[in-house]
Amino acid sequence: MVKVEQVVKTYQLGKQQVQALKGVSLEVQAAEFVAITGTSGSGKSTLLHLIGCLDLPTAGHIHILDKRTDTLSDKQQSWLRNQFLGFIFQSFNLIPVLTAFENIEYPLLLQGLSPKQRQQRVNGLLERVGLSEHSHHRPDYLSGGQRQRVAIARALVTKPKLVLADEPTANLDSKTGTEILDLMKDICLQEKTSFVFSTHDPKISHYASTIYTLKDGVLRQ
Amino acid sequence: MKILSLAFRNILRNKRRTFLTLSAIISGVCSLVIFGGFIEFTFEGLRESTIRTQLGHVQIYQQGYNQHGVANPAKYLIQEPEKVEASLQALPEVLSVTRRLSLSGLISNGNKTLSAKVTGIIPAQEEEFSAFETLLDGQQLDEELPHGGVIGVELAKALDAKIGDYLIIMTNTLDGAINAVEFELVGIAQTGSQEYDSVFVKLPLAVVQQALETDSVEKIMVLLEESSQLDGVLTQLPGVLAQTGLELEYRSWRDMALFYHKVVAMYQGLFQVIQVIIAVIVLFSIINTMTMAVFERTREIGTLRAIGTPRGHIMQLFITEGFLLGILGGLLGLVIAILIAFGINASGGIDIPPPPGMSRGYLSMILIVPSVLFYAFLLTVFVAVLSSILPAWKASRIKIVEALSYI
Ligand SMILES: Nc1ncnc2c1ncn2[C@@H]1O[C@H](COP(=O)(O)OP(=O)(O)O)[C@@H](O)[C@H]1O
Ligand SMILES: [Mg+2]
Repeated sequence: MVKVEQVVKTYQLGKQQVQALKGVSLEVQAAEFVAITGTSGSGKSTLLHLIGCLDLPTAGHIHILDKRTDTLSDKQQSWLRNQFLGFIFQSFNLIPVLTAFENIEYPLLLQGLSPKQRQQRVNGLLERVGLSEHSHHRPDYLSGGQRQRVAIARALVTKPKLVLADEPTANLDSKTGTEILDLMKDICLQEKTSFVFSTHDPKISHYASTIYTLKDGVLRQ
Repeated sequence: MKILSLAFRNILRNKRRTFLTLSAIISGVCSLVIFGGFIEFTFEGLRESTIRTQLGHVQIYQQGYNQHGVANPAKYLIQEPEKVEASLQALPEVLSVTRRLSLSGLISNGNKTLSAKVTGIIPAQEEEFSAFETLLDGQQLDEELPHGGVIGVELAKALDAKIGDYLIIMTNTLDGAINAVEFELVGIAQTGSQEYDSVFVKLPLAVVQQALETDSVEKIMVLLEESSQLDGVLTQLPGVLAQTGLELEYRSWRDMALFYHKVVAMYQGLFQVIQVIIAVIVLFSIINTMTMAVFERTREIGTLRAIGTPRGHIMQLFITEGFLLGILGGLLGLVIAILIAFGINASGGIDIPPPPGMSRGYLSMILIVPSVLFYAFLLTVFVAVLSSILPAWKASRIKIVEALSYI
């Protein structure tokens, strides 16, 4: 489903070139639960961004659902992200002016579903992540764990093939982090959604089906 | 729909910044409405004084007068003015009707002779038309003084004439013979135009008719109750004039008021310059606050993009925010401008010093004119949308990865 081939990513930092990824290759199968570990600055976010079509590699290719990301227009990339990918961020990144319900509903608005269909799906997910009672609260009135649950629901509401999560538990206490990982794992099994996430969390070995380690831009299994 | 509600919540979120943007818009609208209301008052004042002291609303002539009358006045005079007056006075909108006959000739005090433009009027019917000049000495024409005349102040100086002097007007009759009439100087007046003050003579119509040896008149001036009735009267006029059986033509004051049109054009030009200045100020102030909003929400824009929002939607969102700010600021601006205008009018208006050529200043009110309000509102919304385009475009072009790590 995802194929990363010899990907290099170079950033220009002033006059200096920083090579964040130095020829990374990897494949992700359907319903796989993949973890990427590595120290801070090792290139985890960079890799997830490239897989998520948020940026393009300097060299090498990335195939998502048999589409090479660097051949897609910005519009097609947006569409792909909306239709097939879900994102979960370290700091939740909810829209502060929208309620939990509306945050989850947002990706569906881009798809033109009927209000009734949207409501059904959003309510289903609110229940799934255990936040039915908070559907009308704005993010400011939710705890960190609750916010990340909203973010998970938002990532899943479009029934994506692949969810990308960049250190989803880093801003949560250990107990909440475990709950979030449990939730993601459950969904992975039930919905056959693939997950690729980066983490520092040592508990990860209990969850992930595959664990990669990034070190200085090089990936090892 | 959804984008509208999202945009609306976004503009409510940084209250201080929205307040700043709205203040810029509101001051823009207020300036436009107040200045627009001021010049509308000026237009109205000038319009009414042009009509009521100079031209009347409509002037009636013998057919062909405007085309050929200057070269051959004798042929283009109205023979039976009473008939025309009678049918005009039947119209309920008509306030008053008067006749005029003018001539060009010479004026003399016995040892000095100068050229003069003489207008013959009917004193009793002229009250509505006579506010044009300011009387400096003596009195106005009067029915009781069938041989009294009023002349311009410069002409009086040149002739060294005083009230009570007898002056002579010399001219050709309509048949071409030389003729002279005498009148007693009863008043000296000033019109504001020095040029006119050095030639004008106002005499009773009968005296001018006697000088030209005719019973006809040159034109009949019609004054209406209200200037707004003009268009209605103009549509009836051909029918009314046809009833008299005479061959007549007419012109409305609009076709004759060159000075009025020039003043209007000048003020409107000025107003346009001011509009552009205000628009530019509002434009930059909105661009500024909008750009701040884009910076502040960089991460959020990155998030929206990451979850699949196309660039176009991001642009739409910010432009909608600009549009809503324009609508909100425009409406608030109108309300505040109207309150300010009421305040100015209630306090007696703005003291305006005498315009060039005038001897007195005046108090200007601020007229609330729907077209000015509408236009100010439209301009504001337009400028608000226009100024949000650049920040919106920048927002839509944000690099997602950089935006997501933006603190
Ligand atoms: N936009 C960028 N510009 C310049 N350098 C960057 C940028 N993003 C990441 N880097 C650099 O690339 C390397 C990898 O960063 P990142 O992928 O964020 O690592 P991680 O997520 O594992 O902490 C780091 O050295 C970082 O400084
Ligand atoms: Mg990172």
